[in-house]
Amino acid sequence: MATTTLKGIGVGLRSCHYPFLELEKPSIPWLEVLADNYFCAAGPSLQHLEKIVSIYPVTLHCVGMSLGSTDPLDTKYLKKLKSLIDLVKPQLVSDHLCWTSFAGQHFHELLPLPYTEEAVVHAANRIRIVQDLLQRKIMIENVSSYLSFSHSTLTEWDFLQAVADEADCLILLDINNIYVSSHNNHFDPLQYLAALSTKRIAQFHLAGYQEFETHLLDTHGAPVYPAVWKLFNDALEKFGPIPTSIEWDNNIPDFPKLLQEARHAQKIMGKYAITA
Amino acid sequence: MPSLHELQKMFADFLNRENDDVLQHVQSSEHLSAQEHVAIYQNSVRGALQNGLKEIYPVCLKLVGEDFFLMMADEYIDQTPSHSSDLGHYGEDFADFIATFPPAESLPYLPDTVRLEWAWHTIYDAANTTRLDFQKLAACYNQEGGNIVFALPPASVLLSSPYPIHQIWEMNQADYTGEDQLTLRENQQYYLFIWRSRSNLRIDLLTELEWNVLQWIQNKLPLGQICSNLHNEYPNDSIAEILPQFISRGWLADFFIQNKPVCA
Repeated sequence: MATTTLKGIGVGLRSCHYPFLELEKPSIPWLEVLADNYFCAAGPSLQHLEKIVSIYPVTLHCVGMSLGSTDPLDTKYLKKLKSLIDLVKPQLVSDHLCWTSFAGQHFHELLPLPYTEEAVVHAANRIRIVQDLLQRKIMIENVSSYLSFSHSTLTEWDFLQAVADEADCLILLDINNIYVSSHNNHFDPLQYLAALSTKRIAQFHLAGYQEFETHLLDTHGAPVYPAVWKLFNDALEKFGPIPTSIEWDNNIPDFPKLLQEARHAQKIMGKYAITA
Repeated sequence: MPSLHELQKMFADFLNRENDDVLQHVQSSEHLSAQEHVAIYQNSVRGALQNGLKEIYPVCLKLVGEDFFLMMADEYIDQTPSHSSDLGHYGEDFADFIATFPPAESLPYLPDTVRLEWAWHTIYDAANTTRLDFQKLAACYNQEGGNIVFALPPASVLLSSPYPIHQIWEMNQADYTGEDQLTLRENQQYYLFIWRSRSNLRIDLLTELEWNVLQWIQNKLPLGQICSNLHNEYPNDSIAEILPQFISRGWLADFFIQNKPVCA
């Protein structure tokens, strides 16, 4: 397991929860902050964040590094991220193993990479540059997938592991995304967990998806599904009590509902805390 | 086998509805064709941009309803790719688009209302206002009065409209409890200063005189030039009365001396 002082179950910070967090200061070990929401010069969002980091440890989660894109790395984006890192001093920093931009156009969606040696080398090179610029290791997250490229030569799990090894970075393993991708692309999620090495896993994500007749869609708009709780249990059994955060981005409930999900996750994790 | 760059080009082309070359590299499955697999991403990309516009323009959404808003948004999205990783930067020229969107012709106040919403959105996260240094200003005023160039708060926007867009905006806020009738006046022009002082966002209704002076300040005219303009256009008004009011309202954030780093 990768070294971090974070423990237990955190939740994703969302602006609708600022008042509750600042007034009630609920007992929660840490919060995951969406970094891209705080690249502003000043203003109320940043003021709330400064208050909240004075109460809770945080991690930073990004969506805009476009680590797999063939566009040049966005150095302005990375400078803003570095400034935010200096301000909030996060325990961990992450982004997704995907691409979000091409030829200067941004798609605001986590787009899929082919699982090829070329993509391994390309993404790993960029992650190394990012880590040099940020002067720290980052975590890369597996994204939900809705297709398979016919020229992929690796499995998704081998691709994730190969990029992380080549870049010498950490992994944020999204349990919900594994489940969604396994359903959509017809693989065994346990095979995914079994193939990954323990040493790079630094954080888990849990979230809810939406079920369609033909596929599952990763919406972060529902409670964690029973099958994902089961997979979380399996992941804890293999990797130990990895710090985990609950993500909820659409139809966001009141904070107590999030706490309820966090407590359920903590209860499951509790079974593994002593032996790990 | 396409290179990574070629694949991303084809994928981007599909997302932009330009061609479907990428489909030859995507596997179909039991439930979905290759086209349907990639269309999941296409729908998500469009949904993200639609949601971004909805978040920035809630008053417009309320005024026209979801179906009409999405019809406008879809056409705007087709014409306007996003060029920032920050979704909050998307939609700056939505008002200009609406002004030329034939189905919105019967809503002539809509483009200016949308401009007000963009102004509100942008000042929310703009840099903080500095405090005007009165001691330094007093010292410089005596020596360099005519060469002083004032600066408006960084988080501020000047807007004018023939429609009472500030009232339209206010009436469509979730917590609004006032009158639900709006009186439109012929030949009226409304002047607005949308600005933020620390965390306090405001929309101030200006007189034509205040609007013009703030515009001159925004255009970095030195005080001497502003006095001259004032004398020509508003001979009954004096800068000696206007400036203290602007300062007390917090509308002036800073100043410098034209062509000099500091006053001696």
